[in-house]
Parts: sequence; structure tokens; C-alpha cells
Amino acid sequence: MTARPIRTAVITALIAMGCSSSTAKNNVPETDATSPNNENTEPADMDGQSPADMDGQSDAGAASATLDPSMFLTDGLVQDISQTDCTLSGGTQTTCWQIVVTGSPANHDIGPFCPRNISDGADAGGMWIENEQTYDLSGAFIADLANFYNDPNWQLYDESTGDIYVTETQEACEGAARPDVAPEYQNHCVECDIAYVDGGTERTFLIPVEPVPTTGTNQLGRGALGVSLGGVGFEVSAPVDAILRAYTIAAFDDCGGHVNPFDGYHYHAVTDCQPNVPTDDGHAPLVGFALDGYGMYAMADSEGVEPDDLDECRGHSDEQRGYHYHVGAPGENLIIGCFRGEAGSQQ
Amino acid sequence: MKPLVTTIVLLYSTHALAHQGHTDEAAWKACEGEQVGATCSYDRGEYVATGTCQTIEDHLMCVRNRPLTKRTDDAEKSLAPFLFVLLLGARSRRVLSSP
Repeated sequence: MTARPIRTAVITALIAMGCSSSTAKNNVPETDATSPNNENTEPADMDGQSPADMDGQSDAGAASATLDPSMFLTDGLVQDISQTDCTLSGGTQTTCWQIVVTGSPANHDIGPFCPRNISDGADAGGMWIENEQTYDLSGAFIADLANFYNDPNWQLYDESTGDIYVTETQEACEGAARPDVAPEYQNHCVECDIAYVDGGTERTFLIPVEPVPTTGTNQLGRGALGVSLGGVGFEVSAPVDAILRAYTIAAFDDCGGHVNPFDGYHYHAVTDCQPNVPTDDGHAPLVGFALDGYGMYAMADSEGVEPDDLDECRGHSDEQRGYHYHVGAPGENLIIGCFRGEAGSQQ
Repeated sequence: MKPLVTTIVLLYSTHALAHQGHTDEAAWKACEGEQVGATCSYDRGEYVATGTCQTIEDHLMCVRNRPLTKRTDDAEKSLAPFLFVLLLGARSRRVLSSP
């Protein structure tokens, strides 16, 4: 055998390997069970029950991207979802769904967020996001922050007792939840109790009954970009490292949410504990609706395959659902990239 | 009343930067100096994230819209020993078979 056939065989093998690695399923990174958490974004289906099933209502339209009030968990709502006149971001006057939520998740508890001592296990805390991975916020993780960030200024605990510095009061929560974190709240694990906002911040979402597509895209503004089927807002994430500069950890709970004094409890990630409506064709389940009225689905389908034809907003169309979004992975701290339609509003 | 309203507005306008967690620095560095809609990519461990630059709260950020792909240099690195053995074998056979 000469060198040329061998080289040809090697090149053929390389091409074959390259082709096989280009399939979406194979491109999902394997997760190291000892460090970052598994980033499975396919939400659990509430033990096989859709939100509609859970509150005894019809599950009509379960596979559709069209908003049906019965998809929402009633425990997350202040009142029945109704229709009202509204004006969208592009000036279109139309009819919107008016969804008034309690601000407290209908299907899971809030927290825990920060562990209290470096000896605490993963169950005592929530999660942290870094380098597009999620990490259990255990006491050991807090103790290792200086190594994790390669910066000795990280010191979130008392070395003599192991007690972690946590924002334990409303004043501390408000003082730490600002970009100009006061010196006394630097090097703290930041958490805010839902009791500071009376158990939840009531919010009203106006979402067009019929989405109005735009020729271009609409950027995400500040605040909520959509609402989950459990009545909790999905929030935009800021691409800033302000919290790291102040040596604070604004902890998320295991559902990807946390509390602030203004928006109450809200999500920054779609995880496996948000309610969803499963589909009957293997497509990813529906997890909520964006402010422009398009459905938001989990990242991957029942086979774990992520779509490879998403547009810049992380949306695409199919025959069953029309245009809809697929959310990003929890570690990305990014849910969708922009709006494809004129957005409603949230107050 | 007015100072109170101003304070509340100022608090709201700044609080968002602190509490929201942060995205991977690489995702927004990938869009420095770029325009909205420009193709972008950044390393995510041994994978590459590819997307377009989108405005998120007035910052340009790379919004991934393709499944992650294995970094090319990592793939080449993992194949290097395999290629070396193959090429070494070919060379030694050629030496042995030469007159």
C-alpha cells in the first residue's frame, strides 16, 4: 500500500467524521457530572399532565403555538385571562390577551438561593451561571470562588466559622441589587425574599391575540420578554459583569429564577421545572408566550435534537405551529434573541 | 413627591444591571464593533457557538441560533495521534519495500 491511498483513506475518514459531527444531536456537549449541571432544557411535563390537565381544563390546542388561556395554570393568575384593546410596539391597534399574574410560580416553591455555610450541600442553594454552564450553588462552590474566578478578592464567607455572607434583610437586598453595590454588601451572596414584595408582584401582560409580524426584528427591551404558563415572567438578561465586579453572586434557584424588589420573582432561564404543554409529534414542548404573541418552546425535541434553522431571534416556522421560538440553554442566560413581531406590553 | 418619583425611576433604571445575572462575556465581546445582524461566533469550552449580533438592553450580544459545533482545532488535536500512527505506518512500509 502506498502513501497516497492511505492519505486518501484518512481524508475520507476525516470528512466522514466531520459530517457525523455536524448533526445537531451530536453537537450537544456532554456534561461533566462533577462540575456544571446538566443543561437539559426540556422541561418535565408535570408527570405527564399538561398545565391544562392539572387544573382540569381542556387541553385543546396543546400542540399549537396559538395562545389558549386554558394552557395557563390558574393558580398563577389573579383573574381569568380576558381580551382587551391594545396598541403594539409598532403602533398597530389590535386585541390582546390580558394576563394578570400573581408573581408567584403556580407549580413550584421559590428558592433556595444562597447556602448559609460552606459546609452546606447543593440542596441548600440554587444555581449559578458562568461560562454558559450552570453550577450547583453549594457551600463548596462559594468556598471555591477565588479559585473559580482566579481572583483572591472573592471572599463570601467568614473564614473562622464558614458562615456565608447573605443579604438577609430587605435593606440589604435592595442595596445589593444595584450596579453601584454599597461596600458593605460586596462579597455577598444576594437573595431577596418574596415576602419583601408581599408574596408576589402582580403583573399584567398584554399579548396580541393575532401576532403582527414585522419586516425586520424588534430588539428586546428592559423587563419581561414573555410569560411562562405558570404565570411568571421571563426576563431579559443584561450583558454586563457589574455583579462580578462587586464580588456578589445574585443567586438563582434551581428553576432559573430569583426575586428583585421591582419585578418580584422572575425567570432568567428555562429549566425542567416550568410547566409546559407537551406536543404529540416529538416537537419540543410549549413553555410560554413571548410579548409578540408567538409561542416559546423548549430548546430541544423529544430526541434531544436542537433545531438547526433558527433565525436571529431563535425562531422558525413549521406546519403545525407556524412561527415560534426555541429558548436557549439555561447556562446561556438568554431565552430568545429578539422579537419577530410587534410586541405587546407588560406592566 | 417629585424627588420620590425621581428616586424610584432612577432606582428602576439602574437596578436591572445588577440583579440579572450575567451572560458569558465572550457572547458580547464577539459583537464588539459589529452591527446588528452581523454573523458572530465565540468559544464555549470545546465548542463554538454561532449566531448573530442582537441588541439586548442596548448592548450588542451574540445570540446563538445554531447548535453548538465542535471546535475544529480540538477535532484535529484528537485525531493527531491517529494520523501520526497511520502516516508512520505508511512510511515504514515504504522504507521496507524499497530496494
